[in-house]
Amino acid sequence: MRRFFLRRLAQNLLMLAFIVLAVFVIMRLTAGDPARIKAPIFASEDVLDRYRAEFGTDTPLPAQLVSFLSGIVRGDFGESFRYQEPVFSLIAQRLPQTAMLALSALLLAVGVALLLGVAGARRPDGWLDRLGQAIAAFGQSAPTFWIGLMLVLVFSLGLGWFPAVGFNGPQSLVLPAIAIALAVLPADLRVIRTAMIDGLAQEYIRTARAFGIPEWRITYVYALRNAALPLVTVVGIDLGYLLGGTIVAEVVFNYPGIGQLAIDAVNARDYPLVQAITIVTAAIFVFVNLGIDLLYMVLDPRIRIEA
Amino acid sequence: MRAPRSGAGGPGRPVDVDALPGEPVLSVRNLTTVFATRAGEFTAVDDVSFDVWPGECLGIVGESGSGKSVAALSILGLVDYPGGVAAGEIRFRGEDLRRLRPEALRALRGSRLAVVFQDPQTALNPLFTVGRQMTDFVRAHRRASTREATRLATEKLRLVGVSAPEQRLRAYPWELSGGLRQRVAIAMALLLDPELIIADEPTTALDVSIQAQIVELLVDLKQRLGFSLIFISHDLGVVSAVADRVLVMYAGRAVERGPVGETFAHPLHPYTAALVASAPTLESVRGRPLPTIPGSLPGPSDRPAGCVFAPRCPRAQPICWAEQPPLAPVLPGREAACHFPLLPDAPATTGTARG
Repeated sequence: MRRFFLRRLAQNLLMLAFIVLAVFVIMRLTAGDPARIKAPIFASEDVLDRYRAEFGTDTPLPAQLVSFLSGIVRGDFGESFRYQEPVFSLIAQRLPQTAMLALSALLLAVGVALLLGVAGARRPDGWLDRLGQAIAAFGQSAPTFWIGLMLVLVFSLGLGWFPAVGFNGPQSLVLPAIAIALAVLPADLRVIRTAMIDGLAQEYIRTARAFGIPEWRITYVYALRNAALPLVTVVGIDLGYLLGGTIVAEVVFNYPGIGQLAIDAVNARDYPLVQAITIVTAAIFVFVNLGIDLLYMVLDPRIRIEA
Repeated sequence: MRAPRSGAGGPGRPVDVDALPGEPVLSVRNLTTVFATRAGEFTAVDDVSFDVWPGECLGIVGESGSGKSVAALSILGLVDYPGGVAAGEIRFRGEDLRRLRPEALRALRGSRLAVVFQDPQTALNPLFTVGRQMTDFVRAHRRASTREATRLATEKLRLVGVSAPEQRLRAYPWELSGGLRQRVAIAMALLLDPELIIADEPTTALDVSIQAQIVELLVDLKQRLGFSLIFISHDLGVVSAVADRVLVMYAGRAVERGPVGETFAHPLHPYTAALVASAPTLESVRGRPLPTIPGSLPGPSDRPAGCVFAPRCPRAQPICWAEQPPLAPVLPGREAACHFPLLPDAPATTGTARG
């Protein structure tokens, strides 16, 4: 098990290294000169060169790569071209906001999916099952930006219950979290419902009933345990999606998260900031998945043996 | 082919149902279990009645699809959707289980009424250790600390002949051998000292050598602990080794009932006779085909109006096709649902099988 873990860790670190390289290359292949974007429109070539010297984009690419990599090793991701602040502190300000939003959306989606998925599995074609299917179909077919706009129209502009944009307290989380949750909910719901139907059909569930285990325990402990693996898998996929999915919602709701920051950074060709954001999100994704692999072994004793 | 029985039923035990003293543990009357299918209603158990007396083992035999397992699940109230008990009375110690509130029935299952299922590989939960499952079952019925429940589980495992029970409790079911798993399943059934155990084909999924051990274990436990047992199997040899009386089912109906020795030695119903004839024995001659029953079990839509066995019965007469024979006494202590039962030439020579 420990060898398995170390092997996975090594694989993941290697993957991260490739991502770091790729983002460095892609940013420099993208059209647009950060100096030109930063400088006043009619700045002379002289002024532009000064900016280039400041950003370090006047040196040859290999030299830039070396200074970028040596920075990473020292834990220094450089200074943002646009904000002229260390990118690390920019990310540190925004990341908690995005994490809060993503986790709220995830909790909402998984919570609703659990309630409706379990109810649907216990009583297929019952009204809760139909409600779940309807919500899943809606969430799958309506794009996040449109749902976001509709939520703003109805609940902020119309009813005035929640703020439309920005962040001023937990109430600002509600609408963007709903918009994001609706995007991940359909897959969660279907996976949970199918896994629960499968779980409840197991013979050991009949055994548990025959031995007088109360029905709620059979559903929420015995059958749900059987559904835990697919559930954990789908949550892992959700987290991957949420890292990108929050960007759309952050833009629609003008929410000060890392997604907004990423869009600004790309538009400004802010190489250090884009690179740092990419590395941080990729690292989160990779380590979350590593954690999920470990969770598998905790949840299903049979996997422990095989690993 | 039957081993001589050293009194599993007790010497001199009366075999006539009506002559037994006391009250039956379980009394099933006119049990009818129906499944709603696309093609219409399918009656899996059709108007079946039987009693199980204290300390007795009732065998239920019949081929696959005869309704014997559904009858067992009906008693437990565990027939899954789209099936359900449509009619009848299931009296356990005088209480009609069909009228019991779900909570009261749940409290009964696993404590006074226990079950051993066919395949311990699938009947035990692969995600929980043996100990966790056993203590869960105890605590569904009793306030008990983990330690108390574990002690009880250890005790029952020892009772069924599991060595190093403390170690087994920490194992997952799939880490145990098939025979050991079935012993664990039996220990589970014994956890709360039930009055009645329903064993649904408990030996079918096992190797022949293990089968014999499990059969011996059940007979021994029944004798020592005094519970009643319903033993469901399609294996006549196994049933004759365990059961005191036997109920033969065919296409959802009870076709014959009586003491196990006499019933198999001198069947009254042509179906029982055919079943006995087609069972392989050690004396079966190699190369000569075993007798089989021509035809197949009638499907839900082609059950005859009369006797369900008429289409396959060598003795069928016009009345068999028209009129359904009721399960009625033919000889003392023996019943058959047949217009033309196979009466033995010399009934006096039977009835000695019980030793």
